[in-house]
Amino acid sequence: MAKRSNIIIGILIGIALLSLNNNFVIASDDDDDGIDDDFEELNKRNISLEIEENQIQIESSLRSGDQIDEIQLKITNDSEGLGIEVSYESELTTENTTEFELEFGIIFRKLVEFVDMDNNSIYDPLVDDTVQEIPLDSFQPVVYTSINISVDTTLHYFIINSTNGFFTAHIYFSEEFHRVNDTLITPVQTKIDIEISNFPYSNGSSQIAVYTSLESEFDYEEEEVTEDEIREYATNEKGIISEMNNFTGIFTWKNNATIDGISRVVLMSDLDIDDYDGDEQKIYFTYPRGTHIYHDPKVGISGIYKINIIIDNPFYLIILIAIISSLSISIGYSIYHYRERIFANHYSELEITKDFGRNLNKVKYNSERLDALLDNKRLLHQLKDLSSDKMSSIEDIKATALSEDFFKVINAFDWEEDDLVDFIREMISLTPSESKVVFEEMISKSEQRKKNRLDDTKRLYT
Amino acid sequence: MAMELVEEEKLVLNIVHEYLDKNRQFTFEEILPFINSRIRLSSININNEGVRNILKSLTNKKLIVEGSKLTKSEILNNKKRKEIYQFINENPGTYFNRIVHELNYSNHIVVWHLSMLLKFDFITKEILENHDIYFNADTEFEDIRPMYFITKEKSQKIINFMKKDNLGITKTNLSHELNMHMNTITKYLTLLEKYDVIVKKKIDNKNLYFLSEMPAQ
Repeated sequence: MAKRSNIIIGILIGIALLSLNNNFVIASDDDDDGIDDDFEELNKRNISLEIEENQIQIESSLRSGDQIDEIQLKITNDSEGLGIEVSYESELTTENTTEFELEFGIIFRKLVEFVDMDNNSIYDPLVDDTVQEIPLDSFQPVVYTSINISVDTTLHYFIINSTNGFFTAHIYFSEEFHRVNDTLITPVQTKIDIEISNFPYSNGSSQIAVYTSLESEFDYEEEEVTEDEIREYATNEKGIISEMNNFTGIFTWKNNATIDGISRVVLMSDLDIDDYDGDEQKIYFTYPRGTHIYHDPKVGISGIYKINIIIDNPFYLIILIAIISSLSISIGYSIYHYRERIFANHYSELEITKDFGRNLNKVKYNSERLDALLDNKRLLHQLKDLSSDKMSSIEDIKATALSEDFFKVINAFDWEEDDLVDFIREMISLTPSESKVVFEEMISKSEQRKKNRLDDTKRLYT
Repeated sequence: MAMELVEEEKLVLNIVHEYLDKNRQFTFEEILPFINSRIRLSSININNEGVRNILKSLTNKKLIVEGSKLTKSEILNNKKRKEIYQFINENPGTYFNRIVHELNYSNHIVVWHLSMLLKFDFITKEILENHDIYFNADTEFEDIRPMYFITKEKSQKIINFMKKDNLGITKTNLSHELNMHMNTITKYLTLLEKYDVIVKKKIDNKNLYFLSEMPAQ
């Protein structure tokens, strides 16, 4: 059944895409960047910039259309690190007040050399041995280059080197879609290539992580599929998003970096509370050991491209409705299955314990120990004497019932002995429905990340 | 812990759960007639002896256990819970991640203790700025709102900076001095002004901000 549905959806999508190609998109791509020229024209932006000693202020506005927006980018390089702040306003007003609808930012703060004690290739300061930390707190003057990419558009390129020379950021911001080293730069994103060269390793088997602070009024969430992947501008990406006032800030990166000329997988830590500001979050990018590391994250805003489809024939309208319907079905189907897959694993012990596996000093309870804690001898004795004619004579022991969730929760988490005894005692004082609320919340907190991914996917498709 | 239940066991367990929706605990003497009456309504035919055997089996499988009693006076006997409660009292409007981070307890431990504190009305939970925030049950939510914003790290940064020299500062200078985004500064200044922590005065055509308790002369 599922296979048949997939085929139908595939056919529908195929028809949709063919229709799209044949009827709605004039397939001209004179600059050979893989993007339709009309779409590019619609999304061209004007960029103005101001370069100061430790700060670059960039403003980018749509060139055409009834509604002119503004992306403001502030790049700072000072004792805090290398920061990129992005603000967005969907409609510039004539008033001199700027109230941005989206604000977020990232700061590359330090390079951390560490030995991966748990061999998971992800830096975890609580588990791994930190060998040294090199703060990104001093930088050489910014090198700026302006490159004409067409008659009326410019690519702005900044190079920011740390004073010690180990860290370089190559920052690109373009007025239109443009390919740089096989990566498409879009006008609503800035590409920040990170280059780490000749790092002075102190340990023979260590590797490097980059500490990155994530700033936003609302928490960042992981993104399973990036907008660029959906639009086929990029492949093999990962990212995080922060939403505010229905706009989405994105921070994405390639799953692979070039390490000494070889493409290798980059892993990142889970999102965690920032060490520098308790209201913000942090993430570590962990790179395989190498002398020359090159990785290319992007920062930008999702879902603000201008799309213009002119329908001058009713036949096209029918085709358009068919496209929308088929895409809706396929998206709905994908979301349904994605959701099913997530919830099928909802109670997976492996998944839940993965989040808590770092509590190395704690004890995992096996069923024998649990049996000892839930001693039922008195109840069993009572049941032995229980019969309809002897009921009034039996001992009045109060009992309760447990759910399967109870055992899942007990087994899924690591407990200190006293905690487990107290927890069981308290849970059996509650009714099953009361304890169920507690269990669900416990499982929900550990599954939060997965749910966020699901929500992200939903948001991307709607 | 064997969890596979036969159809009849599932039926009886569901009936027991149904009984517990209305009664905190049960004795076998109380529940047996209830189970029998419910079974009579179902298509499954189990006699009294059968029900007794199923209860025994569920008891063996620890799905029926001896209950316990918990009173409000016992709730704060747990050391970690007491610590969480104290932390919430000292930081009204605090949120889950902060409790986990500051007290260094696992998520599931914090969830458990917060649930019990909520259930026994020691604390209240409300949603503010996308966060579940917790505060003492005796406090009104409206009183928490200013405290929540004022105790935020960025608000504190602004207040502490202004405390040093309360001669008035412009938004731009504050943004520069504290290295905070202009829009973030705007947001926090607006909130601090709303809650009377700071005041805005127009002097020489400039909007200057002062801490309320030490206004400019």
